[in-house]
Amino acid sequence: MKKIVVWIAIALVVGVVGFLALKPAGGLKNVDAAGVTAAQAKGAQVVDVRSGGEFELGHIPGAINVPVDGLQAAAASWDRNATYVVYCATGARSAAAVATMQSMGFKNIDHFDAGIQAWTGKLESGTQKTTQKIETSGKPVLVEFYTDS
Amino acid sequence: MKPLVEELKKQYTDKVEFRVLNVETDAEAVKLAEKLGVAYVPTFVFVNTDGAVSKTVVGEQTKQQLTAALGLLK
Repeated sequence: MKKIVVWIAIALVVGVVGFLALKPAGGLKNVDAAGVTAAQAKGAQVVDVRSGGEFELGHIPGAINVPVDGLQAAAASWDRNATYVVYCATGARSAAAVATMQSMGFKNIDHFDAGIQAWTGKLESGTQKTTQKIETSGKPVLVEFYTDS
Repeated sequence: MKPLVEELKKQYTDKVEFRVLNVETDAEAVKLAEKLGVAYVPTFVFVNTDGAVSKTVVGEQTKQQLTAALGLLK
């Protein structure tokens, strides 16, 4: 009888440890196109990690463009508790982006791992634009917004 | 990024006005960021002479990317 109890206890410990080891860390989950839409409806920020040129050709409405090479710097000031949906063309660059964000402590990442090729909704094209105008001194202007932290 | 922007500022000194704004310490910068829909840093906003936004890009940029966008300004 004692042996059975010991074996059950061992099995429980192994099971719990195994579950914890296999459980995805950092609230990461893979989503499909419907999952992207659902996450957006709940306030998630969609992040397109492709190049600016690819983004201009067509992107998920509401997405911001942060090419994967610049993600670490750009995401430094982002809210670690917010939810982000990350995608690229086929899932390769976004997988790298997700790993970067996990290492930075982001807790809620939805990975649209099939990429924009699997997007079934409408696409927006063009760069990130605003209709707002700013005052100029008669010359074009480059405004850089930054922080030191 | 600052050294690159400083380099470009010198290169485009007579052609383009550079405004480098810290949204942590400058309240006016925050107001402008909100007006332009800027939510993340670094963000670069390229503005034509008439004040209309030509292009907005988020994240670190290469010199080539910045000069390409600067070249499109009217």
